Amino acid sequence: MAQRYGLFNDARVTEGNAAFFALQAAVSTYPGDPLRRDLDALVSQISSSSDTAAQTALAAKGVQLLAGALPFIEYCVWDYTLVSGVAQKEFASWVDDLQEVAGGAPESGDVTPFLTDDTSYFVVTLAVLSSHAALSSWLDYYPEHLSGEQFFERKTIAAILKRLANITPGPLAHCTNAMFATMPVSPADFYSGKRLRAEDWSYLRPIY
Amino acid sequence: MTPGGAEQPAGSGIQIRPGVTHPTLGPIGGWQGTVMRSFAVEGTTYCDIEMSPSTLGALGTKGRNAFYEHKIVFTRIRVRAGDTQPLPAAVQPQAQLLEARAQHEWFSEVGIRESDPTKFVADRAAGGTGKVDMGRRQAIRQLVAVGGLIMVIMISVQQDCNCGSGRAGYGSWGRSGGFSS
Repeated sequence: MAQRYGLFNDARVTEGNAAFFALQAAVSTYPGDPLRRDLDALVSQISSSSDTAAQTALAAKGVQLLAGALPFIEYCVWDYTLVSGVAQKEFASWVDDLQEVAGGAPESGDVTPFLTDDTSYFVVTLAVLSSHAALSSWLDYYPEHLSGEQFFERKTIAAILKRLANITPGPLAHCTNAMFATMPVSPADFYSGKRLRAEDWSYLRPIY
Repeated sequence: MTPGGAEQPAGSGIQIRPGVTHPTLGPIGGWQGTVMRSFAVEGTTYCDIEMSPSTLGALGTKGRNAFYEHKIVFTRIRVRAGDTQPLPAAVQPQAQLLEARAQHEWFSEVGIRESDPTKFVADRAAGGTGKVDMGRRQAIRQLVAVGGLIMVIMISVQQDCNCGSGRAGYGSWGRSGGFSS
């Protein structure tokens, strides 16, 4: 079974004044969904043996695909910090958690076969740690000025994805540490809405 | 629910057949919306539908709040095509997918009472010490506030002493709220 996460760099830390950003989105899907197939293909191409420009291009392409599926994003969370020490901790935490989930067999009850009477989902995650000003200047410019009510408006998610999909200039430019992941590991497995609303995923917010 | 049904073109208006019950949403017969996409799995066609504002409005505040409380997305639903029927031409929705105000309602009813989710992982990473939150946007804002206070004091002192140094500015705010002169 193919690995469902692509990691730019095996290191969890970066030199310099780092910033962190992560976005996780639950997308409604179905067996044979071309979006899931294309994202899985991108993820499988991201590895620490590729050069930074190629990794960045793949991640940005993945975000671009996700942006094209905006109407089907039903749950989402995003997180960021401009404080370097916190950024390093955040990134390590996200990567560790994702590797645990995306790298192993799902726990019993965590995933389901395709639901024939309700919506089925897969989850896409991008976590970024970068000491380049491309990320920190965008974080300082954009989300810092949003109100709480705006955090999970669909147009906010759209704006974030659109910005991340830009490579030059874009927040992912010159990024050396990032992870792009799709879950569940098997494309034959799905998450149910009930599961995504349960305690383990309680940080996700509905996108109406 | 009824299996089968033909794939519906995106943008077409449809109505859920009377008597259909959704496992999460309950009775949805009569709900109307716009097809976002349709697809077939093992011989059954499904439609992802964005519900119309009139349907959302008909749920009433109480009905919508019940969904908000449990974070249930009810503005976009999946049903079997066989459980739907075309809307009469007279009530076809606009081809453009409709945007509801549900996100604002959800925030005012539920989201505003919840902790900022963008702090969630930070809190977890810090092991619940609370130090991370101080290191995040609150800390930046506190720095800005303290810096603003310092600036006011500096201006006050400058005015009081009337030094006449001719300096036009007292400094500028960096991108992380740090003060540099």
